[in-house]
Amino acid sequence: MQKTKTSHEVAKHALILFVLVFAFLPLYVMLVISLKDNTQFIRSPMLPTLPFHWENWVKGWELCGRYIANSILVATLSVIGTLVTALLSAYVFARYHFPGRTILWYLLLALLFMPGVMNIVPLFLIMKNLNMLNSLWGLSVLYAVGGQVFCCFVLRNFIEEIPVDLFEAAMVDGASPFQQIVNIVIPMSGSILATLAILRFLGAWNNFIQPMIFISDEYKQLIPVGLMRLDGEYVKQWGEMMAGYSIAAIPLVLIFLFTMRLFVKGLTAGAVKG
Amino acid sequence: MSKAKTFLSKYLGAAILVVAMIYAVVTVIYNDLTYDAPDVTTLRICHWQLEAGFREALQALIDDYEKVVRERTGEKVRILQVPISERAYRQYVNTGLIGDMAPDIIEKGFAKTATDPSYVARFFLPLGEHVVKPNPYNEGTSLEGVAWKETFFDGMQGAYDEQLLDYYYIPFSMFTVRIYYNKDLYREITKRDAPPVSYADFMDVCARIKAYGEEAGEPIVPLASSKAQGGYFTWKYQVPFWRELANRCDMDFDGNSTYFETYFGMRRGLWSFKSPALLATADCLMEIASNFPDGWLAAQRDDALFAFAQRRAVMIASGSWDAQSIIDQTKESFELGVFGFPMPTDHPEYSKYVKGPGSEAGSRGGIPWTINKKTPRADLCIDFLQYCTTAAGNEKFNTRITWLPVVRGVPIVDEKLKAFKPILHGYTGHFDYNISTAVSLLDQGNRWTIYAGQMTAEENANQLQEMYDRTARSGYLKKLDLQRRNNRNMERVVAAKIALRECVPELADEMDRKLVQLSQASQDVHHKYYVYKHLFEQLENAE
Repeated sequence: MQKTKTSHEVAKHALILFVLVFAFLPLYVMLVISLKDNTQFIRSPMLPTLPFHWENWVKGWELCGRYIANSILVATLSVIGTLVTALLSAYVFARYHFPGRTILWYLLLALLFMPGVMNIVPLFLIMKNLNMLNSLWGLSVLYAVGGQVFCCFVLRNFIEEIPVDLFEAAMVDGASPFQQIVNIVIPMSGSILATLAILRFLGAWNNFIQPMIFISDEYKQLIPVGLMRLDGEYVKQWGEMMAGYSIAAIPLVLIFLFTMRLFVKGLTAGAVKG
Repeated sequence: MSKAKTFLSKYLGAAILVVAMIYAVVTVIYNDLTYDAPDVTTLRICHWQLEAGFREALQALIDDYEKVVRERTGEKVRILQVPISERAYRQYVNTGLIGDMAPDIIEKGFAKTATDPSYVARFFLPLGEHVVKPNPYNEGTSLEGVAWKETFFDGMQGAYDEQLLDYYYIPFSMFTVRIYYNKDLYREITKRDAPPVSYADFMDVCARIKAYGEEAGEPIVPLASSKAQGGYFTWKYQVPFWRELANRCDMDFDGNSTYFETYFGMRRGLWSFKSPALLATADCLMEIASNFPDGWLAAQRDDALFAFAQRRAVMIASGSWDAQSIIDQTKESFELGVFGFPMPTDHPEYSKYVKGPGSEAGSRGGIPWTINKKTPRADLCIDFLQYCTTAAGNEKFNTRITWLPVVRGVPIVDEKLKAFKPILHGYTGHFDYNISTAVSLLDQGNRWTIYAGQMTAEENANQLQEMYDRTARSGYLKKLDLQRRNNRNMERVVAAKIALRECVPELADEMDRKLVQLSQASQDVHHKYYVYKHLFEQLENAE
């Protein structure tokens, strides 16, 4: 019996290790290449070779630092914008009954089914008319607007699950709707708000097409387009490029490290009824 | 300890986020203050030249220019490079021009908005009035007083748009294509130093390299390749193979055979797709392509360069634009050599058609810079381009990147570049049979199938002949109609210029000059249209 249990454990661990190897292989290759010059890379792309070229990381930072700053600003502003507006509208949809609520809700949901690329031309024209082209603030607004529907959809269901008694008690104590949001909704939706924030941050961080089209100045460009430009070199400096990729991945790794607990909690929230 | 741990786990993430946000805000504000400062004039210049050394060479000119302007006028000018990869250049330029946010100076190419004459006229500044005046930066040099366009080796012929009748770009460099080779590996395999000079020799070397690779069990092939390399070989071999056909069909004695002329040539029985010269070209290119590595059709240009640098191929065809990149990549690994494309003048069959290499005397300046019509500082853009295209500026730029200069009097001092000097002897003559889109598409598609050895030259000829017979007549009429519409457009332009001359007296001189140019060009276009229309009708009636 004990033997069978051990063999099951070994098999389980072997499977997990197998999956982990595949998951970490690209990361390993990226890090190893980031310390090579092209000659070392050509001779041995996969194994570490001496001497290590740490200067690639300096160059990588020079290449990507500016893009990263722009990306952090745009992603953070867009997350704040999305969550604030989505929370307010989700609260209204969850707590108030008004004429046309259902139709408005379904119209809002219909936007979920529209592929983003379809909107590029009208968006471009709107941004042009609003004089928001080539502006990081404009792009932040665009991202914030783009994420509202999904966040609103998730948050409405979550707020509806909060016991009505809590809101009624607050109202008896004279709490305004805004105070109800601050004192009841936000504390009780911490995990889902964190999850949505991470998802939105990831979406904004990785978005390629919109900065590509809406931003024209090099110093305002975001990280995905910046990395694509590195990749577009005719003769690539592989070490510098991989150092750049590694640096670009660091903010995401940090975010996951510090919010993993909330993220998993948010993902599983509502998975078990009752 | 546990308190500190709790504090860390609770607030470290937030602290990092706050620090990152502060860094981001400071960086963005700093960039805005640096580049958008009210007392700084910022010009943006975009290009797709991501070859090693290009940005540094351009930046060196930019740095010098910024200093010169500041010393001369006190104006703070900042020129920002916007390098965009080839893959995204089209979208970048198109959206930028349409959205009024394109850079001030744009490298012309790829995007329809930068190549189609109707868009070029809409978005870019015509430079005719500037290029006929001397470049002020040439004062005190041997080019002082010479019209700016005449300071270029080609008189800026390549920059002249025949449809728009004006000059639309300023070139920086010129390019030729050669074969680079790994001298060490070549010596080891062939036991000699000299590169192949004849086609037979070239094929023999390729065979020996293949045999060496097979014997040694190493994946060494003669020619590193991608579709780009396939294109270079096609370009270099078609002209000498087809020059006799071009001469045969040439009706206006300009040395070339346009699709109109080849159409009449076909109808008069002067050529067909089974003409021996065409079949021989396909056979020759198939022979060459048999020395490419497996999977070359799916490879990118940089994959081929990488294979060459990795010593997986002994030779690679590429342009002088790649010289610096290849030198940088290979300087620590092997000795690099360069030679011209060996022509099959010694081949029993091919020598019937090929008498020598194609001439490069008609080479035109490359790296074409155009000026965005919407730029608020066109004067500064022109001034910058003038600064860059003095003999000294052009030498500095091209020496740094190991490219060929375009300004007269700039010597080619770098030994490595001497192999890229244009071949001035040789043969010219383009033979264009792409009378219809269908023929053109089939030809482009079949080319790779033939090179890959999946189709014979005869099969290709049969397919093209069938397509040509089916679509050439309608294609001819469409092209004729296009010519008619060009006439009409030109007449509109003439009418507009006459009206402008009458309404704005201060533009009278400039309009007069334009009208003379237009009348000459429109005569030519009208003449061609009526001649080809008349010839076509005659041919139809006769049949």
